[in-house]
Amino acid sequence: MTEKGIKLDSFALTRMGRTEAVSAAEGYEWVYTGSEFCENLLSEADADLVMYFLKLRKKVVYSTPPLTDKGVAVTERILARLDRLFRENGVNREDFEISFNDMAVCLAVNENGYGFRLDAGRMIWKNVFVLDGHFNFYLVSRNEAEFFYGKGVYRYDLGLASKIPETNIKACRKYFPKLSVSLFYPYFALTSSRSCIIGNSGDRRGHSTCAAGCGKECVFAYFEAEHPFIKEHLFVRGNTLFRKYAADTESAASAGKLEEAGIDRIVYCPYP
Amino acid sequence: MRVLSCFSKINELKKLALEGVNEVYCAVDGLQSFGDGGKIKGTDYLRKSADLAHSLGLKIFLAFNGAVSVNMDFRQVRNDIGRDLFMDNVSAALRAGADSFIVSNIAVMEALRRRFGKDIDMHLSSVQPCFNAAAAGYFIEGFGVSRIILPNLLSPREACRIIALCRKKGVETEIFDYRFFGCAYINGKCLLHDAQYYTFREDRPSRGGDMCRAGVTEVYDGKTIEARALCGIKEDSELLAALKKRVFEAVDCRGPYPFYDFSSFFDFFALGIDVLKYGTRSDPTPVKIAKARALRTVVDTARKYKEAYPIAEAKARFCRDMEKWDYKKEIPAR
Repeated sequence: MTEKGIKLDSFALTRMGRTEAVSAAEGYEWVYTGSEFCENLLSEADADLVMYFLKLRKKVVYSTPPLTDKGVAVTERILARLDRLFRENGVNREDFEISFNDMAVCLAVNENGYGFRLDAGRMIWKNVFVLDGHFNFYLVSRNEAEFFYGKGVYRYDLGLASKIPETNIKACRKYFPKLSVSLFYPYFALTSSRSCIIGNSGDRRGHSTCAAGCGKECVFAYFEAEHPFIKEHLFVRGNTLFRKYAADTESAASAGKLEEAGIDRIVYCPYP
Repeated sequence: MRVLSCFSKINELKKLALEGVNEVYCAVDGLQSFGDGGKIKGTDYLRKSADLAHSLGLKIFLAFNGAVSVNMDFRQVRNDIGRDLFMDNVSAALRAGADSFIVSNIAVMEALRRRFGKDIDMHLSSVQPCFNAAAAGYFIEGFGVSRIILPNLLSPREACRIIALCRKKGVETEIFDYRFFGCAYINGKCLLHDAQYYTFREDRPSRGGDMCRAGVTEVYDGKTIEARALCGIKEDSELLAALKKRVFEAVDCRGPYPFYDFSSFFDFFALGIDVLKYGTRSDPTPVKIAKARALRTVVDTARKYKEAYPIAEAKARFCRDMEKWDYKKEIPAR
């Protein structure tokens, strides 16, 4: 049975508001929150949001982006707060996962003994999988899979590119029984930067950039861009560029095609 | 600060040494590297190159920084590792005289350290971008990397703790020259170079390469990138007009505002970064030589001012000099 999730990060929550977000989450077992691509969108209040959804009997994945030392400090505070909230509220940690896109998070979770399950985020898959010319994902090296498996990382976040992919996940489960995959749709992340497309601007010649500036401008809008040389429309949100693919993921899940491909969870992203 | 340059032909080594290069690196067929351009052919060629490099007083490194260690079906890989072909290729490169390996994949680092112990020296590639001191510490303590190549999306201020940690642990640090590696996207994580994710229009100019290098200017033959704001900004909004240019830049390799420029170079220099690198292996030889010369000049200029003036004055003088630097005058066209 393919599990269903919905991505309700700070952008979605800003657009929708909590009430609408809760209603959008109906029909989905998992809520993905946090920030996959930008550390400036992390906040200690995220821990309370995680607990809010858990109390609504949702399972929750908290996504974390690549981190500078500033972001590591914020994330450590969030993890400690989460740990405290789990203890105080007696909530089952089995219903919670952390998706990481920086090894610092993987280390912090393991070294502090928080007992949170770890997923490899959408910026990690290239360490382990190859996406071939037909948009199929293949786990290509035992070394990489073994390394992450040994760190308690069993689940990988992948993006839907063009069509429902074939994978070799099922075959690999012979060696890694807990190996599992979440497929994000319909937006596929093509590339990401640390410096924000929307927020950072201006000519600072002669003065070093101190850090990726942020006024959280990205919560105002995302953009659809038409490139003069490219047929497809591209989507820009914050520091990341996306393509949107139309494959009917939910029908494929219902028909069992995804399970056949070893994909046991799909994650709907209402926004890029 | 030492100067490191890529090479792809043995006859480039002497010319690079004459331009003041201290270290060279290459990639070799048979070992996965980030990008296949300018690879040298086999370990015999590597051995000859290493012998010559050493006779010229240059250290030689091998980029073995593919995102994955091998690129085959998993079951086939299992067999290959069983026969140790993967490690045999690394052993052959070690025997050929490579002083260090530039590695990105964590599992590969672990496997190499386990197999070769202290006999192998590893540099952390920027393709596995290390943005914080915790991750840096992990690579230093866990795998014994002797050098961290900083990603070019880290400002000097943000890199301070990594640099301090490296210095404390006796690990070297390396940055790219801002003039020759300007991509604003995270190195190793970008798919814009792969045309399977988009379709070029039939009437696009033939000069275009990858999408992000298609050479789109803001308006090209009357065409421009159209940006439409979704969620919240009205089409007639002044804010949208201002943001359109930024969105336009996002779909080109200029991308968002870069972190590196001559000012950040000086700050990195003052912070004590050990090595300045240039690494476009596919550049023709005259371009490589000119870029290596430019690297040596920028390091010498920074050193000259830093030794002669208080730091703020030195930086101001350095920036004034570098502002005049002109790519087209200094670097031959490809």
